[in-house]
Amino acid sequence: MHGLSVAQAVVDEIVAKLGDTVVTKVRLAIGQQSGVVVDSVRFCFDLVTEDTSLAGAELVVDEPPGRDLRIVSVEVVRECAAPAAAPTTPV
Amino acid sequence: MCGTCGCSDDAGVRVNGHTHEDRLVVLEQKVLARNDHLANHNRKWLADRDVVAVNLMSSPGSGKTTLLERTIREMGGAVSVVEGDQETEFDADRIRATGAPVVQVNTGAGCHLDASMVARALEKLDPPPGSLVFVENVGNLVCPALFDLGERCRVVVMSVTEARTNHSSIPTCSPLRT
Repeated sequence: MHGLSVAQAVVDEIVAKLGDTVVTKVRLAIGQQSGVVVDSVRFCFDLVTEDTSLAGAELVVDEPPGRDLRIVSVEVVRECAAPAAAPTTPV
Repeated sequence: MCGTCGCSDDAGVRVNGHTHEDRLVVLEQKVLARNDHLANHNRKWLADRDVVAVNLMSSPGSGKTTLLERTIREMGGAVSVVEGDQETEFDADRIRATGAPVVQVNTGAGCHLDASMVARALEKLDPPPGSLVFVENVGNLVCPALFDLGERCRVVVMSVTEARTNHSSIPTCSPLRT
């Protein structure tokens, strides 16, 4: 029900901002008076992230007072930067 | 996985000794940013046409549709309605019987109207300039309060038996944003 539309909105916003960058962690702020049930969002998050760049991402939820409903931050897998002197090996 | 060194690509060149690390990206973005953006688009669309939209909310069975029927019949003037329900056209049929133009939005499993549904309904309804649009939200006192539709103001309908308890125990309805 409600958790699904919130979870889907979270995934849509992150993908819109970051494209197919792999996301390993998502931190949300879900206000205590926001009317959103955190457990429902957790449950739906795993469902809606399957087969997306957020698959398997850890979900962390802060529950401050108030009505805020916000994506605070995400952690992404950094595109690698090679050490300067590393030799390359053709495969 | 990595677009730089091609480490996920079987035929690629490997750079030895490199690692991948997680990087924190601060977003601080409202979850409902997209809905809010569309709601503001609706707000502008309505203002450009000098149309006032009222978002009517209540729990199921409180009397929204009945109140609307009476209001339309007794008020006169140009009034049209966006009717939100999970299923059926029953409420739209009742409004239609008053002679007011009405568009039914069925949300299916959805428990609230959102700005994109209202945008599509308003396009279809095409309210004339200077008129009033009532958006009768899905019967639900919690979720509709979270979703800005682009309305000028919100009205909560509560039956006498509900008023005393619901007003204080359902925080999303009290106080209301207008």
